[in-house]
Amino acid sequence: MLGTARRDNLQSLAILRHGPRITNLMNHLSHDDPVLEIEGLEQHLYDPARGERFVVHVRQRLSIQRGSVVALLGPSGCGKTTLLTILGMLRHPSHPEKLARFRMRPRRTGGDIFEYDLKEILLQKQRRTIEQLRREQIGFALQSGELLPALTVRENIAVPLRLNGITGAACWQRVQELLDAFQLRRPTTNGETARSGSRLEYSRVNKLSGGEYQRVALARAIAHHPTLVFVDEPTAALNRELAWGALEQLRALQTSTEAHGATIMITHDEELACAFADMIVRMAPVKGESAGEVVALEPNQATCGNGRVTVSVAESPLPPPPEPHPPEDSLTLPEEAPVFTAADPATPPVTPPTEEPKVASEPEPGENDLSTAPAQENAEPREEPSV
Amino acid sequence: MITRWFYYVRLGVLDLVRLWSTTQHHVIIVAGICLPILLLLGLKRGHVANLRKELLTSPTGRQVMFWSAQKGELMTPARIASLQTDLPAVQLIIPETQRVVALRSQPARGEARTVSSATLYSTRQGDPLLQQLGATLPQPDEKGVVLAHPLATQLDVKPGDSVQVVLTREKGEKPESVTLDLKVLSVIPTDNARAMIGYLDVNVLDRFEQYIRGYRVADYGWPAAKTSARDAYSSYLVFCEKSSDLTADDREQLKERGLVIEDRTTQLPEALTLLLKPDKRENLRVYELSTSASKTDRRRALILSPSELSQSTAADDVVVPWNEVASGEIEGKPWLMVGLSLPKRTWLREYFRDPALPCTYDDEPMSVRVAHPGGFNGAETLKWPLRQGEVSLKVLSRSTVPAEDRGRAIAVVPANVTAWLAAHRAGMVDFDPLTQLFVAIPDPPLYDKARLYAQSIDDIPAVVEALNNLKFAVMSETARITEIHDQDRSLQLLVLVVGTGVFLFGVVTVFSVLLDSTDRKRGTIGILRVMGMSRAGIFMTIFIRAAVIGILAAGLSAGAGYLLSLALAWPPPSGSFFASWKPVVAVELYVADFLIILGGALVCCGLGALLPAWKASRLDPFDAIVEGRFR
Repeated sequence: MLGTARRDNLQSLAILRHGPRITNLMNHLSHDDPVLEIEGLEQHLYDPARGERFVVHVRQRLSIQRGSVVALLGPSGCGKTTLLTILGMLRHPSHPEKLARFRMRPRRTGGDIFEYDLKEILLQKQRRTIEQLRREQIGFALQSGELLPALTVRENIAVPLRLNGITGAACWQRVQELLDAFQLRRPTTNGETARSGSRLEYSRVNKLSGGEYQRVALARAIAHHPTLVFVDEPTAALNRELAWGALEQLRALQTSTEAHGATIMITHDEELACAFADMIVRMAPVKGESAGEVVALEPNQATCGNGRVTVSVAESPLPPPPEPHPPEDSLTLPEEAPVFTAADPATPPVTPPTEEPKVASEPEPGENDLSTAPAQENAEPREEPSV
Repeated sequence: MITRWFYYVRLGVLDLVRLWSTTQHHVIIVAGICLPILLLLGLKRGHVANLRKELLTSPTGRQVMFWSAQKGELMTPARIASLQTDLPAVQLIIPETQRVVALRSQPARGEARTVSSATLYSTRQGDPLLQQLGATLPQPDEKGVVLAHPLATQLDVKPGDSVQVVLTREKGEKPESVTLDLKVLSVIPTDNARAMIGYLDVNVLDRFEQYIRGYRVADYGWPAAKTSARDAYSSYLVFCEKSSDLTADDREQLKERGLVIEDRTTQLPEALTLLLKPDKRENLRVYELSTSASKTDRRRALILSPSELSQSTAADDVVVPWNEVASGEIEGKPWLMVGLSLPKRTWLREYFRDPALPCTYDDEPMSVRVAHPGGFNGAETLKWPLRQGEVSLKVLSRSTVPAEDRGRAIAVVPANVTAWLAAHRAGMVDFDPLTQLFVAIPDPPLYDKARLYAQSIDDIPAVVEALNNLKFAVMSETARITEIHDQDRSLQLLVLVVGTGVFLFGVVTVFSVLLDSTDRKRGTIGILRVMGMSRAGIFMTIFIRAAVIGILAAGLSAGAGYLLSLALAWPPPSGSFFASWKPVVAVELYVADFLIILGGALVCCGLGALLPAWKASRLDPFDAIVEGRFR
């Protein structure tokens, strides 16, 4: 496991560096325990090639609760990816000063919660702090995986750990856990694990199938126990069974009581969202304007009725998920403005439906759309990039 | 922090090693830039070295012959030594002298051999001309000779044998000869099959010259020629009778000749007072002619003809050459030596107590007339002591000493004997016991020509210029050396221009390649940035990658350059049909060239990587990932 002492040290460093902007909320854990809040986002985009402008609005307070899985649904081009890049600190908001609220509240292992005023950090252009937050608190599993071609599977998974200064036994133990959890050890024909030279974990990523590739990306995203994991189109390159199995594993690891994290997932798959999300954030174009906005935030029960989709899959490749979290009231009522809050993370194990879900719309290449990668499920091993 | 930076380096290295095909591509491109520069440097050096080779291997390349001609000075050994230190970058100067001699040998088997006319040239320890031929050179003053092969063959000698030099001079009535045994040190090859030449230490050859010129060579026991040194006088005494005294015109004329006239009538030298008749002395007028320095400086003593002086005056005078009276002890008794030569028949003899006592100009040089108080009953010779040794004077006549003398004997000798004794005392002449003559001391040898060896052929122009400034006439390979220098400079410029061009294009190429490579790695860079890798980390990773590519490229260039240089220098086998077209090209590669290439490759890659690394470090992470998918 990622050394708790190391995480404590990292957060202590954060206090030292950003003292006034970080508030120690001293073991604050209540029904309303958001890890990320944003309100009043107005992101302006301009495509010089097309000469088009586009604005993404988050007018209400969007609050992501600790331990929850949030699905971001909406048609192509309505700004889902743009919102994800803002939340993941990959892009600066066009007008950070107009943000009513933008905060992140990671938790220390001891239970202390720290609050980063991201608006302030953005206004002061604290580039190194942003880099540090991305390195320590955020994990990404993007649509095409984006693994490093020069590294092996285990080295790829170890990258976030190494970037955070975790080396040696602690690093490789965590990698081993993730390899086991995501079943990234390819057995040989006689059932035994192959020697290290031919084992999957020692393979370069261009030797992986599409499913293995995506699972490595997911393992890497959560390797360093991030507070927030952003997953973009997890099913785009995988078949349903593999995708569901991998996501189940991701949810189990990321939303466990030990991890204290949250997951934000972009998807077009309503069924997937219903199966895994505690809350569904819907985005839609604004009529008459070149803009998109968050139009609804729905607790999962509201969308999918009483239960999660409970389709059994006989040959699920992944082990059963851990025990679900106890039910907890996760809705936070708005005080001044309407607040969308992630639902209770208590999520029962899910199995994929027998039929392919209807995809809302096919992703198209666009300025902020990540759904354009031509990845295929169980694709042939990828070639090394050539010059 | 440090751990993270080490990890950045590791990522860069893994990228290089694991994605070897890309690395290899870049290394080959950079090596393609470095290799021509390396070969250019090698070719330039090789070409210039070829031009210089002949001059470098032959000492004549750095030899300068110079001689006095009309304006340059004659050189003494001391001057040669000072030139050797004063002129720039001079290794050795050897005075150029030569002497024709006869050589004899007595081979162990067979008859004696003689070469009547062989020319011996001067050499000196360190002579590059002979060293090049592998000759053993004579030590200073060593009686050893290096013989040309034809001469050695003629004499039937080999190294270690002896040859006898016969020197002949014709200074007297008949030729005189001396011999000297020389050890054959080496036999050297010559182009001329009939070259009767040899080389001898310059000091030994100087002594040959000394002998030939009639000087005594004490070291070798060779006598001087039978010629006495010149006699010079501190003054001349003019004797007149009262009735025929010097006229005013006479005085004027003598003054005009630069002579000072001093009346010594009442202050006659003591020895003369003793020798003259007292009763007749009052009728005499005595004047002393000298110059301001002739009496004090022996080197400025006077050499005049007494008879000519006498004839130039109107008075009936007798002019007598005069030097200070010498004193000494012979067998414990005090002696005075008076140099007094008078014409055989002159009125002045009547004024002496013994008219026959003054010498005549016909007397033998080493003779004496003795005036002794008790009568001189000694041997036929009077031995007058010198600083070293003694001189034997043949006694021509004996006389009693006047009563006024206090027991001192007087040796009256020809005037030139006192002149030589005075010069001997002053160290200006030498007494040769073999000939019993006072002979001239030889002046230091004077050379009008010398050969000089500069430290390298590159120093020749400066040496030649310095010699020209000293008004010497000069002969050297300057023109050829200057031509080589010009070619060297031209090629240097060529290398510089081409090298700079290749280097600049190299920077642009590396820049372009790395920019393209960075562009293709946008996805990787993007995900690293997404995972929180800093801008500096991205920059460093790319920069380190470029540096390693530079080092690998330099290594590849060095290896390929070395192999190419071997191939270019390889001479095809004679008679080979397929390889006959191949020229042999000299390529000289130095360690400095490899260092230049390594530095150049690093600078080239460093400069070329600056902008790509900077651009990569500033990529928007998400855009980089999205765009990276289409690369």
